[in-house]
Amino acid sequence: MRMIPNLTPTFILLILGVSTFIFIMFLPALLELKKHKDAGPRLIMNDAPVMQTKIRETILMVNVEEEHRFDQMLAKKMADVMAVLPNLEA
Amino acid sequence: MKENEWKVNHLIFGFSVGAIASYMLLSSSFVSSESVYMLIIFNFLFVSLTFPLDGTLTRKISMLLIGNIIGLFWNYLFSLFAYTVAYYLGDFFNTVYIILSPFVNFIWIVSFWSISLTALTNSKDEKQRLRLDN
Amino acid sequence: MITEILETLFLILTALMIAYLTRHYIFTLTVLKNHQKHEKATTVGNAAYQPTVSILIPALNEEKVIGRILQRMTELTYPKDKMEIIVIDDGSTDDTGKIAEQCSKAHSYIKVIHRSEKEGGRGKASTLNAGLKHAKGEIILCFDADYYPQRDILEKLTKEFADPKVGAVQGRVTVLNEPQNIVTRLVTLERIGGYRVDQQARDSLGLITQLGGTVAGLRRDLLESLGRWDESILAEDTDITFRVYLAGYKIRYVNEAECYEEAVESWRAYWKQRYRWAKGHMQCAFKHSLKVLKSSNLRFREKVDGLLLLNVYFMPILALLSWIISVPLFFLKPPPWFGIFWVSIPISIYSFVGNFAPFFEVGIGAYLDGRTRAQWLIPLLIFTFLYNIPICTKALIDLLISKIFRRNGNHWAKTVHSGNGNSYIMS
Repeated sequence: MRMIPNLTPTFILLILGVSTFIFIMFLPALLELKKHKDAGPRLIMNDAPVMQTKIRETILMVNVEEEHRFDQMLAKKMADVMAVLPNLEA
Repeated sequence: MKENEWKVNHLIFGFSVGAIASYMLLSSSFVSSESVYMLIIFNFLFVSLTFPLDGTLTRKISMLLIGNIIGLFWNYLFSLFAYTVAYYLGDFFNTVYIILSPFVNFIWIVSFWSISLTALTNSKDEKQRLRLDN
Repeated sequence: MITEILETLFLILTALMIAYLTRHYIFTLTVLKNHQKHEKATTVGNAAYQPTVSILIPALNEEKVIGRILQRMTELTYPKDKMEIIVIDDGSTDDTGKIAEQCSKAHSYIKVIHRSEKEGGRGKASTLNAGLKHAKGEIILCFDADYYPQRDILEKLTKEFADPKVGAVQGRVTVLNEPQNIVTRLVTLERIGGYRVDQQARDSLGLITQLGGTVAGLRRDLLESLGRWDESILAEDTDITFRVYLAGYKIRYVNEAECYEEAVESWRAYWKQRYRWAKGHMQCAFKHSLKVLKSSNLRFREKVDGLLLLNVYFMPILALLSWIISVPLFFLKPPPWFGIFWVSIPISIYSFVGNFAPFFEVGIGAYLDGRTRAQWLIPLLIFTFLYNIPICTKALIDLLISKIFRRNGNHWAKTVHSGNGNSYIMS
C-alpha cells in the first residue's frame, strides 16, 4: 500500500467532506421541514375541475415573485370590467 | 401534438447525451465499476422520468450534466475517504463500507432528482403564467 | 458450496426486487404518458347513473371527528332520497354514539347502530358486516370516521357502476393534516405515490386496482354473494379486492373522487397501523396467491400483478435479507455479475415504504399534483423504509406463530384520531 504523506489532516478533511456532502444532500429536506413553503394540505375542491383549475391558476399567480405582472393583469381585467359597466347602465 | 413531439425530441436528445456520458464513464479507469453502474442508472432514470416533463431542453440537459458532475465528485470523495480510512481500520472498514454504501451512494440521486422536479415545476408555473397573461 | 447457495439466494432476491422496480417504473411512465389525456378527459362512466347508496361509517371512539364527517355527509350533493348513512358505533366508550344520534335526529337518512362493548372492537370487517345487515342501497360505500370527502364524491364514484362488469370502485385519499409534523408529511408522500401514480397506472393498464377500505364502493348484491367481509382477515379491503376479481368483476380507480383523511401523527401510531396492514396483507397472500394463479377469470397480466401486489409486504424483509447476504458474498468470492445486481439494493431502500411507491413514483405524483417543494422530503423516506423492516418482520413472525399454533392472533389496534385535521379544512 503506498504511503500517503500528511495523512491525519487529510483524514480529518475527508471525514468533514463526506459528512458535509451527506448533510448537503439532506439539506433541502431539512429546509422544507423547518421553513416549509409547501406544507399542504393539497386543495381538493368541492366543485367541478374547471373551478379547481381556475383557483389553482390564481394561487399560482399569487405565488409568482413578480407581483408587478400580477397587478398589471389585474388592472387590465378591472379595466375590461369597467368598460362594460357604462353599457350595462345604458 | 406539437407539444408531445418536442417532448419526444427531448427524450431522444436526453438519451443520446446520457448514453455518451455513460460510455465515457465506462471507458474511464478513474471511476469504480459500482459508481459507473450508479451513474448509468441515474442517467437512465433522470432522462426517462424528467425529460418528458415541462421545461426547456437546456434546463434539463444542464441538470443532467450537473447530476453527473455531482455523482463523479461524490464518487471521487467517497473513494478517497474509503481508501484513507481503510488504511487505519483495515478489513473492518470494508464491512462497514459494504453495509453503508447503499445508503450513501443513492442519497445524492434521490436528493438531486427531487430538487430537479422543483425546477421543472417552477418552469410549469411560468408556462401557466404566460398562458394566463395571453 | 456456501458461496453457490448465497449466490443463488442473492440472485433470486435481487431479481424479485428488480421485478417490483420494473413494475413501478412502468406505472410511472404510464401515468406520465397519460397525463395530458387525463387532464383533458371528460368524466368516464355514466354521470346520469345514480343508484341508491348506503354509506357505512364504522366508528370506535371517534368523538373528535364523527361530527365532522356527519356534517359533511349532509352537505353532499347526491340526492338525499337515494342515500342512507349508517353509522356503526362499535362499542364506543366516549361520546361517539351520542354525537351520531344527535345527527340522526336531525336527518332522517342518517341511522345509528349501537353495538355493545362486548359485541364491538372485533375489527373493521365485523363492524362493516353489522352495518351491512341494515343497508338497503344498491351500492355500499365505506368511509372512515376521520374522512372528509368532496361534496360530489358520490356522483363520481357511483357513475362507474353503470358498467355491469364493475364490481367496486376506489377513490383517492389525500392527507388533511399534512402540515402537522414530519410523520404526516412523510405519510402524505406515500399517499401521493400510492394513489396518484400506482393506483392510477394499475387502472389505466387494466391490472389489479386495490380497494383501500375507505372511499370505496361495492355492489351490495356482489358483496352478499361473496359472503360479506371476512372477519378473520385484518386487511379486509385487500381480501375483498381479490375476491371481487376472482369472481370475474373489475375495480375502477377514480382519481378525481377525492377525500381527505387524518394521517397518523406519531411513529407509534404509524407502527400499529402498518403492522395491521402488513399482517393483513400477508394473510391475504397466503389465502389468495394460489387462487390467483389458478383463476380462469384473470388475464395473465392480472395474475402477475396480483401476485406482486399480494406479496409486496414481504419485500422489506427480502430487501434486508439480500442486503445481509451481500456482505459475506462480497468477502467470499463475488461473482462477476454481483456489482450490477447489487445496485438494486439501494434503489430498493427508497422503494419499499408505505404504499410501496418508489421515490420516483412519489416524485412524479407530487409533480403532477403541482407540488413545488413537498418532494424535497423524499430523501427522508429512507427512514420510513428502515422503520418498515421491523414492522413487516414482526408481522410475518406473529402470523407464522399464529398459523403454526393455530391461534387467532388478530388484534385490531385502532388508529386514534386527534381531530387536528379540523384546523386545516378550507371552507
